[in-house]
Amino acid sequence: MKHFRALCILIAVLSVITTQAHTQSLTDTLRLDDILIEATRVPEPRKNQPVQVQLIDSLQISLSGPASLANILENHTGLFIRNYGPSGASTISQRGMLAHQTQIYWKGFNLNHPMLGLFDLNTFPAGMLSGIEINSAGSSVHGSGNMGGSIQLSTDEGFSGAAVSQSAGSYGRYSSSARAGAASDKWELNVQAMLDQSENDFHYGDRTRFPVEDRRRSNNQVETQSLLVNGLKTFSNSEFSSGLWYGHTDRGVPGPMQSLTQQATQEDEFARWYGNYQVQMGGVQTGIKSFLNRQELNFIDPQNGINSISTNMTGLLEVPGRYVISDDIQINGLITTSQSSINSTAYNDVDQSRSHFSAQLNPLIRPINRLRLYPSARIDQYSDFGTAISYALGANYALIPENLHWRFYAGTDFNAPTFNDLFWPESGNPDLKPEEGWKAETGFYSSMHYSGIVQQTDAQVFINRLKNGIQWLALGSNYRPQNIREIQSQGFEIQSNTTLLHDLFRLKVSQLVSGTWATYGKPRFPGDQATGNQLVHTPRWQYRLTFSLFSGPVNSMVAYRRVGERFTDENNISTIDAYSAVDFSISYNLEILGIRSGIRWNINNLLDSSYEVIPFYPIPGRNHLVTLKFNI
Amino acid sequence: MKYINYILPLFLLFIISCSENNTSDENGDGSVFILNQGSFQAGNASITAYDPFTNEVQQNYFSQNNNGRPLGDVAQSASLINDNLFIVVNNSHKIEVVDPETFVASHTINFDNELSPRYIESVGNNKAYITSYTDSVAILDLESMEVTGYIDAGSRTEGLAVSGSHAFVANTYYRDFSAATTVTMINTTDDEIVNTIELREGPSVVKADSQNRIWVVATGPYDESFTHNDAAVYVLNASDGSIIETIELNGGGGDLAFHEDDNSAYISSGGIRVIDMVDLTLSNTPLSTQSFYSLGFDRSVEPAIYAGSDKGAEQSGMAYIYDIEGAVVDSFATGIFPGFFQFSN
Repeated sequence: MKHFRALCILIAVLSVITTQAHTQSLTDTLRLDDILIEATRVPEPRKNQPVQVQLIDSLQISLSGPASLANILENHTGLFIRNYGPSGASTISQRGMLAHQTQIYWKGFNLNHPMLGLFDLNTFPAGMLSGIEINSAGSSVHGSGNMGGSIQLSTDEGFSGAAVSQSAGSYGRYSSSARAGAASDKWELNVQAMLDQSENDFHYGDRTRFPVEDRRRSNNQVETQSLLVNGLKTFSNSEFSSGLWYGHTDRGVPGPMQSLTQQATQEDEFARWYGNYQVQMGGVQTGIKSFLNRQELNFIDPQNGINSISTNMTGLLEVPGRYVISDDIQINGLITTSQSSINSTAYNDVDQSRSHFSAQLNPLIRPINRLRLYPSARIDQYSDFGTAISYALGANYALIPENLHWRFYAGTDFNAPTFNDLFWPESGNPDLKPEEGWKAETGFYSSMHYSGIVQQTDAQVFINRLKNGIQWLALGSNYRPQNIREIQSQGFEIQSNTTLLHDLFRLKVSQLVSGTWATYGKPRFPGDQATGNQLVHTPRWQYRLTFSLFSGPVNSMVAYRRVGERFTDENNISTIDAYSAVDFSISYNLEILGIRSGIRWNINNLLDSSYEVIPFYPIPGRNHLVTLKFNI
Repeated sequence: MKYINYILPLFLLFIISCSENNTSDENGDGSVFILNQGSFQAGNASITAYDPFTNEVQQNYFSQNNNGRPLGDVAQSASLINDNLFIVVNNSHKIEVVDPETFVASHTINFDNELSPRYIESVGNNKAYITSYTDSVAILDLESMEVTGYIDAGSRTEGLAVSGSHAFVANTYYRDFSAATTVTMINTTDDEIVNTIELREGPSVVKADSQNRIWVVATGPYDESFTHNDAAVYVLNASDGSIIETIELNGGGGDLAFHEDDNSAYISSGGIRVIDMVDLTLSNTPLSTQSFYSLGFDRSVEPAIYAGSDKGAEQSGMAYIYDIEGAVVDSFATGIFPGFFQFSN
């Protein structure tokens, strides 16, 4: 508490002594309200959407520094991040659903790994992020695996000039980035490169010993390289954009504190290319999008004799279409075909592949002025297990136009079995069916403006149901995936953003509270004692509180998060403690001789809390990162 | 993603190599300790203590008696040596040495990742053998509690039993996880290999009876549905390793426990089945049709067969106590994956 008071005083002093403060406009503050949400397939502002949409803008991301994507999400959203430590995996639990039931997209292209069905947030270089959008739409909008929802990640291409930055911090952390861009009204070209490395050799209390021993994490190093090139060319009624992204990550895999794996390493390498041609012909907008992704995932553990080498190739072609018939009727459609293949030593070097075709319709209908209806339907055809049909109905009603909107969404979901589920030697199950489910949510979004204060509130209740869930169940010696899991999840989320506008500063206070009751459904096997119990590693309660201060050249953020206790067994007997953590950042920007410079100081885990998100995977204590940046 | 990608092969290894484990047997008048393996890499191995006289059950018995310290990852097996209980914690690369009366740990033998121990047995001369996920058997000096040497067995070593001056070690897997087929016979006096006995795929459980015989359960190969349907019990002459009898199980084969007063051996194979230890024949009628992860036998109160049943990797298992006619006389919850019964005497 003493630290917290000191921090508040520091922020207040900085805001007063600032002499170069400039007034923030109301338009800036409300900008997010007006962004068209493309990811829901119907481009409408957030307030008009039928589902919850959360946005994290570039300003909030920049205050987080080149931190991890996981860290940004856990500070600014109600997602629960299963964090295995800085060189470990970080996966998502959205609304009680599992990691493979939320899909991650970049430029609309899916990044979840087809072998596992999930995405490790730590493989995305957060320093390249420019925006994050989270929505809860289901399979009729996004296809397979959106039972929890989806996360859209943006990298910033609209940059002109040159910029370099250098960071140094605790535990041998160094991060370097450079970018250059040029643009005219007809074209854009951007190049970004980044190198990030850290030893992550922090001290932790080894509670497997008595008394608890102070030890240093080892084999915890990470090195990430990333290069992204984007180009855009506009024509009279069309535009073409394309980009190439190469990434490479090497890291040690230290294992949990009581079964350390000191020789294990993992290498992730990818090359992604996209092309996007869009054309406007009268009221019709169409085009063609293509995506190629080559991804290697290699895990080597000499101690345990594991040498798992895998290469995934994915190719995708999309034809979107939008026809605006009138102000009240808009037809959106999408046809997609893709091919994925995997060669893996885990599959005894036998190539496994999957072809996929889908077609969907996502119209928008306004039967009356204040009401928007979002019916949607989609059919998916897979080469390995057949057809899945999904549909949904969404609605948005403006109770007070521009200020208060009610929304509703109900739809079906499905999730294709992963390659590992189907093809793992001997134990894979080729007879698996897709996971099935449905979900519904209703809530409201309000945006109220008073003199100098903007209050935005977003609240909803939700219910998710999963059946035929795929679970690798170990009963005796028979360990294989089966369609036996049912999950019932329901809860609520309330988010409040209060922005105080002043001539000298803008102060934004964000709060979020969520409750998630995610339980096991019907018994999966004789004697199953988990029915009705909370899912393991799924907190019921979460709370976030963020203060963001923008005062001329000084920007600052304090982010507090509280995550409730989680059960570590299906009997709901063993728990891991609730935890709280505070992250802090402050930056100062100035311009000298035409060069815009800045310095930023991030302190993560400010209060030096000792906690684990997943048992026996220690999280670093207080750590610092200082960043210098120069923009020309 | 990384974590899950590597946990899968490791977990598979864990499941297929430590499934249906060995148990300590026979008589006594004290407590029953159930070693619960826990979920692989979750660090939630535990001990359940059961008093057959009072039917009292205590969970997390190791942690309770050791200042809350967790036991570790994958409690695989245990052995009473020199009045101490040696608890083998496989994926924590250690052996906890506890007083079986108080369960207070007096020593922790850490192998610092060099060794993933599976079973330990005393072989006399103040030394013990330890099988492990290496291609060798480690020799432990029971005075210094340090490994003094290794015996190269050529594959990952699993079940271990000692009879007279010979130790028998199951060779279950090669390092590439293909099934091995042999049992290594070691002279415990000079630590030299004296015989390599060819059986069938997957020798795992190894037990010694009091009649100078070694019993080996070999799982056989996996069939198309990833199950074992060709397991057998081999009965070996402990003097030279020769095969006395091969008892076909015509199904899977798991844990084994002896009730020598009754000349009965209980085998987990599609339920609990009985082998006549004189005729070396398998009874046609199982004592129980329920499959179990582990078996043990104790007669501290009444002759009783202990059977451990798992409920997956994230849920408490159950222990069932059968009388020798096959009737359930008691049951109680255990920790996750009850894989080994240890009787205090």
